[in-house]
Amino acid sequence: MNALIHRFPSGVVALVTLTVLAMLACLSAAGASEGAPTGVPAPPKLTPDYAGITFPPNIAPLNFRIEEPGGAYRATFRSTFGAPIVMSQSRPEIQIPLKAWRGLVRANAGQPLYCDISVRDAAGTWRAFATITNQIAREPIDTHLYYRLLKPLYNNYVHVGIYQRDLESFQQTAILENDKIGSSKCLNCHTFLNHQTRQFALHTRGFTNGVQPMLLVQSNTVTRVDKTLGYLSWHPSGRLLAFSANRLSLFFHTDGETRDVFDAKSHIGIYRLDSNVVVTPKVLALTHRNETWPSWAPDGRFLYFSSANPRPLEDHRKVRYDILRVSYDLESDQWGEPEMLISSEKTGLSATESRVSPDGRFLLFCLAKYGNFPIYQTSSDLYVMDLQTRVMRRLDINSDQADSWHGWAMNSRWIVFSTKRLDGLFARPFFSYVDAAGQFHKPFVLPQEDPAFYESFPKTFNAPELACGPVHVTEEQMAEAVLRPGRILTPKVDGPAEAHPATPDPPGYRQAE
Amino acid sequence: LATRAPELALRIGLGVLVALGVGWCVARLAHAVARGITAWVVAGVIGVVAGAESCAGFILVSSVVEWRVFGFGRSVWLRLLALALIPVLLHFLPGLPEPSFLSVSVGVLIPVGVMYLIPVVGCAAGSGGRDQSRENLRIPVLSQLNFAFRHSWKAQMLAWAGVLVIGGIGAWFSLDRERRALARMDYWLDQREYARVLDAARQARRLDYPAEERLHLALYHCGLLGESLFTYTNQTRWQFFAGMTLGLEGCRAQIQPLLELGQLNEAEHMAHEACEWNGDRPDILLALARINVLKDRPVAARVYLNVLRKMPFRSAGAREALSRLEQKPGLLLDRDLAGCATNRVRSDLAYNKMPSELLIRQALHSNPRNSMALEYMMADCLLSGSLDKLPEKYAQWASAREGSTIPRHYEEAILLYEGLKKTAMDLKGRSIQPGTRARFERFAKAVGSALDSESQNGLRREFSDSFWYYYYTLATRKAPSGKSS
Repeated sequence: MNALIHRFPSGVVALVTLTVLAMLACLSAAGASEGAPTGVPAPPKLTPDYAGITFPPNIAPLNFRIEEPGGAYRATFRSTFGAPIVMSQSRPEIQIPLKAWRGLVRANAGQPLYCDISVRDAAGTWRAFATITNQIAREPIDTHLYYRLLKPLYNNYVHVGIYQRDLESFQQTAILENDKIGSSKCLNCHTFLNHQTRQFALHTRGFTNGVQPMLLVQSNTVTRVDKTLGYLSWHPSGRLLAFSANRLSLFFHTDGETRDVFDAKSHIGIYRLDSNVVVTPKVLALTHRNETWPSWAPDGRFLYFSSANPRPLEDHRKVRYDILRVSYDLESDQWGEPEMLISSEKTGLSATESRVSPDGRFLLFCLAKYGNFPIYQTSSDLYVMDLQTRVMRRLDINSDQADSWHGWAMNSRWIVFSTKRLDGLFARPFFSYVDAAGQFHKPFVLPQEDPAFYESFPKTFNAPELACGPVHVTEEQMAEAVLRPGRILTPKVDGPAEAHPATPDPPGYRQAE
Repeated sequence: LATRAPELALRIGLGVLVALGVGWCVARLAHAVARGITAWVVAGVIGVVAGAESCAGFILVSSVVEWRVFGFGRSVWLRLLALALIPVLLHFLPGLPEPSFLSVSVGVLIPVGVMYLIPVVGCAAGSGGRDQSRENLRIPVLSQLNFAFRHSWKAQMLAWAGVLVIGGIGAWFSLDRERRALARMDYWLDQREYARVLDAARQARRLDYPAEERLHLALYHCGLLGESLFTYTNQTRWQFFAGMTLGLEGCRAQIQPLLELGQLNEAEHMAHEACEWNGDRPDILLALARINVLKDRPVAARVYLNVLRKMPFRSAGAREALSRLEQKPGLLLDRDLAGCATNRVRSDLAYNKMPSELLIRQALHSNPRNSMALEYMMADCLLSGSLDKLPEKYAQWASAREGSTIPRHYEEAILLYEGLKKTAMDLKGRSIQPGTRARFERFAKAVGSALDSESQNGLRREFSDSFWYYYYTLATRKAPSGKSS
């Protein structure tokens, strides 16, 4: 050190001088005027946690509450372009004006968004916190999120509805609520074709005549299809709808998570919309296997699904599903041989809910200790497989609670998933950015106008699905199609009888969350 | 309403009666001072009986009525003066209830609703009042109706008939003894007033399944499950933990006993079913909060408490619980919950519908000193008439209940077992009371000769409060069907 000083005395002196001057300047600036922030910077606690995240440029304001005691609060949102948004108020709830937020965020896509927060204490001194830096992604997210809202249900359902949420605002509207089609009916499995809302399907349950009709929306016309179908997936051509036929039963545990689901027998079928025929390809209905959770690849050349050996209910903890895929040629209607992708033998876990990114690069799926219903498994985590390298990995975005019911955005840059991480009981929709390198960024919860929304909302967000645009059919049209349908389709079953024809729901049947 | 907030029901009931009466007075009394004095007297009665907030509500509303009907005169001033005196009254009469924002709101809003009835009552009363004043009666919605009433005797008759019919229906429902008794059981159980639950149970002619669950829990807490279970002959189901097999209405009644028993998950199951079926009732929300605290999900518990916080009359309690959770997330919400935590079942069984016997046995397996499980085990054995299992269950009960005497019904079961099996049971150092033995002998003799209906009636008269009679008639009991789930 002495040598250094001897060698560069003037440089050292200058450095020390500059440092001292900088410190004095900081102190001077901090105490320059009353009301200016002072104190040691530390990160503020926010609810929801919107710090260090990457968010889309077209999302509604990320309103939050500052979890720091104080009498006045100041939040400044600034980025590279445009005027900052400055909010100064006595309440800790920061509700950012929609118009100003849109202007700032859209002008700065691809740039960081800084949030400076300071809180005034009882003595009137402002305390500044460390700047929160979030990243505004270049890529937007699909404009609408579709989900089912329901309480943590068991055997009976009185209030269930499927809703659309405009992600660019806070507007939520009902697609169909079950009280419009008669009480105690269930609605589920809303599935869109290629992330567009002109063609989609959803299911109804709880009718006593044995048939649980599906609602098919095509070009804003609603058709009732009198066929009980399970989990659905559209072929990108829009001509085929893969479905599972399951014999599910809800059962309970005396310790741990109360609910569980057992699938006694299942297979996958194909509903051909152009000919109104249901077929059951042999490769998807093996007698010694249970196939479920069908999911078409975005190019329609493969069908992904889960498959497991059937076991009695007593062995439910030993039921572990593999993920396989089978090739398909639409023109020749030919199926290939099943190809193992995720082997439960190797993972020791049960793989379900496969979803391929629209760019065909990634397979996103759940791994849980056992079974076919990951939302009831705290062990359920999201995993991804790079379909080019066949390397799979557990995502860092997982929590110690159930993470499942995931879906991709149209541009493959966003995923949405349901997770119980906030409280262990209610599933909430979280988004995560997927960058070009395939890294999944810190997830954040669907923003709400009231930052405290999730603290008093006793319903679960189930099966979130992203789509580009709103649904244009009205709730009345949907309800009419169930109760007084103008058009009913009753699919013919082609070929040999279905391996496990869908039956009326047995007692205890539930397809809850 | 009567079950959840009986005080409020009283206030509202009184408010309705008084408002109707004053409506009649307004229509009859022409002199402003007379009306003012009437209002003061009535306000005084309300203040003493129903509390200051209802008194204030009444004065406010009657002032508005006075103003709208007769103009802003002395009478209105007199009433407003009374309104100003209420804080003074509260200060010098500390026995009066403190008004809260919600109760004041209700105290005002309900009389405002009743105010709409006044023109109807006034017209039904026929003459009286000044025509000019009636011209001023411009209460929305009913003003046109009121016009019709004034000009038609048929309309007046119709109004009278309407008041009589509505009043009759109200009276019929309010005086329904059965409903009232069952509702009281529900209410008092919620208040942990178990002796009052038993009182209410005695007043009901017939208990439905939810009421029976409440009765059993109250009997247990009063230490009378083995002493008096069969004295409540108005039971119809005679069953523990029916799940949903006897209707969804029974789910709510099972939450608390299951929670205390230690079957936390089944309590959660019932609570969620009840929440879906009965809606967000305060007791269900509180139960769900407690369950989530026990399941180490304090944030989920807070969600339910926050919903509860937004409910009338529950805000203060919910805030207090939230505050406790905030201070110590792992803290149990109340003292009762500590017992539930101790008894909590820790072994896992997968089931679809678990029989009550298994629920109880598992609870005992987790905690052999689980007092509730012990008593419920014995009672369940008796209710199911499973005398074969009695020696085993009694031995388990007796080893955990050192020093206690044998409850009457258990004695009856033991005597019956010995009588039927012709073998003596090991009483684990205890003895049967001579009175019970003597009565059993009388019963055995009576059963042997009870061939005709008169003898059967005699048997019922003398022994219907005993396990023997229950057992004797077990095969012939045909419980009415409940609402299926």
